[in-house]
Amino acid sequence: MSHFLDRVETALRDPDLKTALGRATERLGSRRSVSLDSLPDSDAVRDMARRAKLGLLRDLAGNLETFEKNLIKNGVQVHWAEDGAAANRIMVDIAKSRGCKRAVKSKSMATEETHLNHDLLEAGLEVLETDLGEYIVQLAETTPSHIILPIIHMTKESIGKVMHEKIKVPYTSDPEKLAKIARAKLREAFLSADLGITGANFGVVDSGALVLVSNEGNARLVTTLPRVHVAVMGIEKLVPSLSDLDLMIKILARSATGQKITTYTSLVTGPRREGEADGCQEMHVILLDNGRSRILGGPLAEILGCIRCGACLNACPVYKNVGGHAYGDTYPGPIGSIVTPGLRGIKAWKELPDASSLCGACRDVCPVRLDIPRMLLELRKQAVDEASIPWALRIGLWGFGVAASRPWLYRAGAGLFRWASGLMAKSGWIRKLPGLAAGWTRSRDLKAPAPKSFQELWRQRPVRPAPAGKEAAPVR
Amino acid sequence: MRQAQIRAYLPESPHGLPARLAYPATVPAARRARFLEELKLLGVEAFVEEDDAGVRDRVKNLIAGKAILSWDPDQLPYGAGEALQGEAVSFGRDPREQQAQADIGLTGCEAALAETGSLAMVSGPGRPRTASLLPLTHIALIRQADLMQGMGEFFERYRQSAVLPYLVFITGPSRTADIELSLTLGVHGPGKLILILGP
Ligand code: SF4
Repeated sequence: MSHFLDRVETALRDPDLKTALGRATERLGSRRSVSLDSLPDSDAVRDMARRAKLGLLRDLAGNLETFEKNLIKNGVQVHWAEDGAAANRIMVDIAKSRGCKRAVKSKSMATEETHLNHDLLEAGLEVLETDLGEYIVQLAETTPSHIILPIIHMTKESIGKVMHEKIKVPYTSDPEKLAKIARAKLREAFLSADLGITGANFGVVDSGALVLVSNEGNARLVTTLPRVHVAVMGIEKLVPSLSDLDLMIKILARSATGQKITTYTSLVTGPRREGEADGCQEMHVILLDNGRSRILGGPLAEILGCIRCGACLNACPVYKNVGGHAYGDTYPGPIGSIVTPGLRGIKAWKELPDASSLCGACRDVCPVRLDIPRMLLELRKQAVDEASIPWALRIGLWGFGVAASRPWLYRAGAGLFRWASGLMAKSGWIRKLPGLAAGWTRSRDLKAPAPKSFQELWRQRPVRPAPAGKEAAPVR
Repeated sequence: MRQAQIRAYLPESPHGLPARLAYPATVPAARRARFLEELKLLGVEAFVEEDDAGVRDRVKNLIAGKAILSWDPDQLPYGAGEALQGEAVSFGRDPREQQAQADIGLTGCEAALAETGSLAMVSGPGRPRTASLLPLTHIALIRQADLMQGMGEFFERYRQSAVLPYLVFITGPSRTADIELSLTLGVHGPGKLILILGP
């Protein structure tokens, strides 16, 4: 896998990405704040939602058992998967033993996490993503870059090109026409599919219901038309009861897209019942751990309360500039910086917690008030404890310590740096620093230092004449 | 030990919160006004009819000459099944390919929610899900008595019941904003939603 800084560099060089991202995150951000304000008592609702979520996590094991019992009562078959490979294996087994050939999927981050599509294709099944964004992601053979808007990084022109090349339709960049083409293509697939695959936005413990929200309606088609429905759900997605679900629904769409509620909110409660004309005939739920129980026992436990609304992505100044792919795994943005090292271990993902200015915008917008900056700091600490510090950094820090405790040395050093960097600067900016300092200017420019230092200015400040009876005071 | 540790990592919320949200009692007229207002924002076409015959006439007018996928006639309120006579109609028990040809889906609903302009649809015999899903236009009939304030109030109904049916809340036409955030209607579900509010 490529290095974090390389991915950032690629992202920053892509002018399309910058335009697309800038436009979208700006509009989503402002819609969200208007919409949360439209909720009476929004502060109380957020506090209650947080309490419901964290309270549930405190006894996750017990809640999972109750949930399983209620699923079974509803006629659902339950499977437990310790990791992604196990989940995929269970899915392939179900598909094969039921003679399924063609799967339709509605958007699911959990199955992105386990790379399910790859394993299904390998097992000889046909798999089609049906969420418009995910369908285009699949055609373009890339990965989603936002948890709500998978193709936020693409322009309509590039989408038109992908559809023209991959499914041989005449080129157009008109979003409406593109959506129509996709509707027609996918409708055929829906009518012939025998396996429907979904994730779950929530699982309601006391009624054994899976909750799926979508604006397009594909989640309804996936859970209604094929004869077998399998849902993959992270074990942290539970809410205690229907009244807690009401809280979550109130804040989820408002935070995600600025709608009061998504167009379709489905409560799926098992296969079709006696006398019903449609609905699947067989339903399975795969409960996926994949590192979550490890997170629960540590200082990042709070992140399991995340309802995946995406608001923290749209608010993050780093995400707005580098986009989702720079984060290198399923979950981008501030949550990704915590979830990815949490699920996959800090060792290979040390740079992610650094991809934040710790400005706190994510914490402010989070509808369940997760303290994201606290967790980022915790991870930075873990990363430092993990890492062996390179000799150059050690000597550098030692040198700084020596200079900083000797004012004459500090002044001399600072003067020297100002003189040298003045030579390198062009119209106030330094594009490239030499030697060890080159890393600093790799993906950003450095502002040239002011011609006079603060200390010089302070010494030269004008002195106001003193009013009678008082000493002269410096101008403030 | 482990439990205590988990508690430490998941700090208690501030005290003094109500155990559940109080749902304000509203009068029918206020609910109806709010509902219609939300429908306007969602781009839903709404008709308010004074009596049963008015509803039946409205339905007749809207579906004349079209291919229809309908709930069973005895499941529709206001005797609206009558309006289906002489039209090309398919039902939930017909082959899926035939259902997929319909231009219009005709349904009732379990309840409607004023706060968000939503319909609550509950699956059951004679009430196929496909009717509100496959055709490009969905027409739903709502009885005045089924208009509630919000989802919380609706859920209260199922708090004691042993099994929850498959249910879906529908709020406006199917939409997507995946391509450069530009709004497109009818991407998988109906692109047009028409509601008829009866007495
Ligand atoms: S951390 Fe909070 S703001 Fe970010 S996606 Fe999760 S719930 Fe939304």
